[in-house]
Amino acid sequence: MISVKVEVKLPWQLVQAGKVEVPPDSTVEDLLRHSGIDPGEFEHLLLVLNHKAVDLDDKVRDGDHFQVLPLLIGG
Amino acid sequence: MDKIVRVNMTDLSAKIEGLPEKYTHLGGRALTSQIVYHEVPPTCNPLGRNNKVVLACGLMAGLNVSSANRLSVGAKSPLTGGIKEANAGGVAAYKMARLGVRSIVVEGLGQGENWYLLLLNKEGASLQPANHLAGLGIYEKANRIKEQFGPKVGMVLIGPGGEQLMLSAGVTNNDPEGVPSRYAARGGLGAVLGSKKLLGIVLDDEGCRTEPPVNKDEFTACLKQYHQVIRETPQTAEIFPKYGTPAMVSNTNAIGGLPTRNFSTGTFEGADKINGEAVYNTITSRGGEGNTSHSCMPGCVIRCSNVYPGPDGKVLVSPLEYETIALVGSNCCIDDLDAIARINYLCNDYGVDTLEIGTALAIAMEAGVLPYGDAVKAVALVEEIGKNSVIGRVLGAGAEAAGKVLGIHKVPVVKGQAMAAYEPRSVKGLGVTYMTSPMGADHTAGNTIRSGLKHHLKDGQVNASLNGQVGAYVMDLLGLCLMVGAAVKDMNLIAGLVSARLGREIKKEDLLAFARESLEIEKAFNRKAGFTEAHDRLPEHFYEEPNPASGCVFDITDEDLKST
Repeated sequence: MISVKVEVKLPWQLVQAGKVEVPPDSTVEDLLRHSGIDPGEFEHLLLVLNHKAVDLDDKVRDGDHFQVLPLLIGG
Repeated sequence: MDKIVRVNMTDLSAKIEGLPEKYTHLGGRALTSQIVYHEVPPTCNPLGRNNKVVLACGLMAGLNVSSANRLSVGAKSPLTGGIKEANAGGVAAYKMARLGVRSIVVEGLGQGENWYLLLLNKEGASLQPANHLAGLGIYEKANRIKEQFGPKVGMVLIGPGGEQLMLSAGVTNNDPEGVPSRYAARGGLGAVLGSKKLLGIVLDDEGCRTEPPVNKDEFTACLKQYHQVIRETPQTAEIFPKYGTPAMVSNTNAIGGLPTRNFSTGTFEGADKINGEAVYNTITSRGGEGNTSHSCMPGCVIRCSNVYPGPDGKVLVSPLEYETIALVGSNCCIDDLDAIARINYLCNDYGVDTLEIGTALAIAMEAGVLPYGDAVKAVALVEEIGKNSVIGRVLGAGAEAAGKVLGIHKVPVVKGQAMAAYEPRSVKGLGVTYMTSPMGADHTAGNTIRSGLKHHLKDGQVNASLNGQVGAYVMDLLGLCLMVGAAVKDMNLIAGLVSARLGREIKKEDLLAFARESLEIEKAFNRKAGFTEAHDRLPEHFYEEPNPASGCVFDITDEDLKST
């Protein structure tokens, strides 16, 4: 198993923050499911791994920092 | 019938014309740029007699369409030297539509020492003496105007910065509560009005009404769908009404795109103190006059604006928005929301652009005029703008001028205009927009932050930017707020509204064609003004020094631009 720091900050669900254990070769999509988020919501989400935006099929590695935020625009 | 009001500040005349047939399908930025292109010599002195300030409402103004009352202000910019349009919420566009005025064109040059206001009401257009308002801050100006003309009038105003021809001077108008802080801030357009000795425009729409859509039933049906989509989309239904644009702080900070320490990096250790949650929690805990969800224009159902109170519950500033928080806050290493709000208020009162001033302030910090993060000294330095001191004028002249005077060469500007609050090495699509937009470094001209791309990679960014620039233009020509774009993704729905409004079929493809044509006109103006491909560049250091937060340099080349 690998350990990933996960932060979910979506106004429409409870804030989550902490480390999760997932199998090696897990993807961002796997992490989303693990966090109780429907990957179908992808179009409303900003998925960030180690300060870089990522896609659902990107792989995660041990020690990564994964953040889920709403997809927004500033003003 | 839609009209154009023309005011000549040389001979102090005002006249009303019918809107030419060639402009009937245009509003907002498309109309300001068409008029500037056709009537302003591209090589003219921006503060001279040949420049014109053009104001326009969008095609949807005054019709109870949510988020559709943005006011466009255009001219040749004294900051960039190119064509410029800046837009803002507020009530001015709504009231222009009720007065039947699609555009106001201010021509000529002020003569002598006298200042004027333009009054528009159901009787027509007239210039009014306004020397008693000269030198006053925006808030006091607005109070005096309301005393003179009534509490419900709309006001388009410049502050002392515009009167003193500062290149960061903007043009403001009031919100539905009469607060005059909805700025078309960018490009120094307030200085152009100042050069003409016009302090503002009073819009008295009493006894007037907006001309209804030609096909009312079709319009009503489209409008119902439009509002339904806005109410059902998480961003526009939940996030923006609760956190407003400050919610962006967490997003850009997460991807290394939050301008920090004069754009030297993209993450800020104090981000949690100035993000959307911090703004929301401060407003709700302080109570009083604070409000987390406020409409900046009539009929807006998104309500992403806010009223930010001080510890005593009294208003410190309204609104407090993402771009200001980032450029006055993280970019200056200031994590004190009250100080950011105070600087925002001062900039509003002086009538200058918070983005330009925030960036200039960081340059002053880089030069050692004051330490990074020193909020007290930062407020004091911004107060110098109001005193019209030499250092105040340096800041008021904008980031590029401040860099030259203070000996700082890493200045985040394109075409003379300070970058908005997206670090271009970590958000490369925005970097392309900064480079290639005729407006200079401008986030509203084609924001790619919602593109779904990996923002730190170059792949797809040029296309995303160009598509974003066209899409943003469609919104600007209709007077729509960009926030709507998060919800209304089907442009056919917008085309349906326009068709019903005008009584002739306008397809999605037509809207895109209007936008592309107008973008080309803006680029043609800039070429005639002396711009070349060499001006479509970021400052050199962005190509050479990685952003420590993302590890990326800006690597989009001339060839990448040409290949698209």
